[in-house]
Amino acid sequence: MATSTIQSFSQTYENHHSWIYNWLCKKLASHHDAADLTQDTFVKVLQKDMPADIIEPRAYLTKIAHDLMVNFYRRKSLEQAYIEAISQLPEAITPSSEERLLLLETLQEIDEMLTTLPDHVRETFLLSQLDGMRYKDIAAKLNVTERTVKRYMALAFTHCLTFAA
Amino acid sequence: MSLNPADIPENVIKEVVVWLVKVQDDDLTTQEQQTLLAWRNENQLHELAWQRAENLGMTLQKIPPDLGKQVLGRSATMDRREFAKHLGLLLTLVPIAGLSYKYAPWQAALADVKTATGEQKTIQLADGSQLILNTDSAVDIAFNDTQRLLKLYRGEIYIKTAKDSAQRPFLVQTAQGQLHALGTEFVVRQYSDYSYLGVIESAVDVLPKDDPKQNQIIEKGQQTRFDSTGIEAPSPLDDNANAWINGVIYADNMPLSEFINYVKRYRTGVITCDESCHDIYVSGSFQINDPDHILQVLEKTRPIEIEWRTRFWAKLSKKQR
Repeated sequence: MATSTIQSFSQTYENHHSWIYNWLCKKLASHHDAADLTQDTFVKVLQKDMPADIIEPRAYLTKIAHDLMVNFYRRKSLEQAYIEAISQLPEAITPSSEERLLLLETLQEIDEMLTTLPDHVRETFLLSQLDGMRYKDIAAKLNVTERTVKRYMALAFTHCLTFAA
Repeated sequence: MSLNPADIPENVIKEVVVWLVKVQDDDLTTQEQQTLLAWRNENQLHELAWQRAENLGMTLQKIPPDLGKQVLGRSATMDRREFAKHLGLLLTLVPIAGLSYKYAPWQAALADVKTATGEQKTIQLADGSQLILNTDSAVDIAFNDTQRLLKLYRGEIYIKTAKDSAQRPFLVQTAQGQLHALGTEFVVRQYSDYSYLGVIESAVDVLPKDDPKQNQIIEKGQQTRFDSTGIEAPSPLDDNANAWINGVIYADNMPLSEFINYVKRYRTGVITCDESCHDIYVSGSFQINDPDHILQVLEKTRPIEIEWRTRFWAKLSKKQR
């Protein structure tokens, strides 16, 4: 990294750290989480190489912090849904804690991958991939044509195969 | 072996997606299967894209369907600010009775019955015949008024036929041909470019697809391999031909690499065995329901060491002295 980039980064950090933290504190219940996400925001800035001549750094940084927060909530809501789903399982088939963690990681990976897909595309994909439903049955269930189902599936597959983990 | 999505050009992704949608929608004809195979072999990037798709399939298969739907089916486009309020409450997908048993890996399209890696399944067929699926297998059951037909798409099956009151013939179809059971007990395995038959009781008539007149009856205690044009001369039945039904692999001074090929089938992930192992042999009977335990036993009893690159990837090599 060029020296100027480091300088401009430390400048950015100094100028913006505290208001981002305060902004996140207002949005999040926990100061601890806010501190974590503030940190993550600057990591993202470093990774992305924020353009030096950006006119509205606040808007830029708010956008990053906001996206991270959405992601954070998404993971939380996934964890919650997961815990609920697990607790409904009969005791005999409850996975071990190691299996649980692995499964949670897998679910997070998939969830993150599918999150930007439109709802109906995602639903189609899950019906096909988790339930193993045939296209014609999905079409009937969702009241769309089979061609539409195929189009959704192609969209979802393309998205998943090009998704950078 | 890095699978960087950026390495795969857009047009290859497009092609593989067309295949995936096709494979999922309908059973491929043999011709189409061959075209697909040729497409994969044509170019490294094609194979890479296909493997990436298979990996995705493997990941999805790890998720129990009901749980997956409940968790992943949370709505994505609900107002983000409302997230905290809606935790886990919005289940957009309603489970559908009777369908949740079906997985959808694309390799074998949507077969009636299938097993995951490491899984075996025993099924009583409508006529009283017994069908056992070995690991990673897929079968369609197509019985009608005139025949009892099983289509083997992937993996390996054991069949013990029952007498049929309607006297319908019992047939097994593979990519390379058809088998007519003559009141028997036998094992069939679908390899990528040929089929294997091992006969345990009575006899089975083999009809290669492109040349069914070249048919040959394989007797009890014999095994053979065949492709669509011909049948190999039968040889005595291998010890391991049907040992899997009892959940066992037998090894009698078997080269380690060959033994590992057996183990691999029952385990998700990669096991490699490097050159240095060429003079290591294995003997004993091993339980296939716990392949990782087999690896541990090997490490304790044979002069090898195992390097775990990830939880799924084991690399075997000879211990340095």
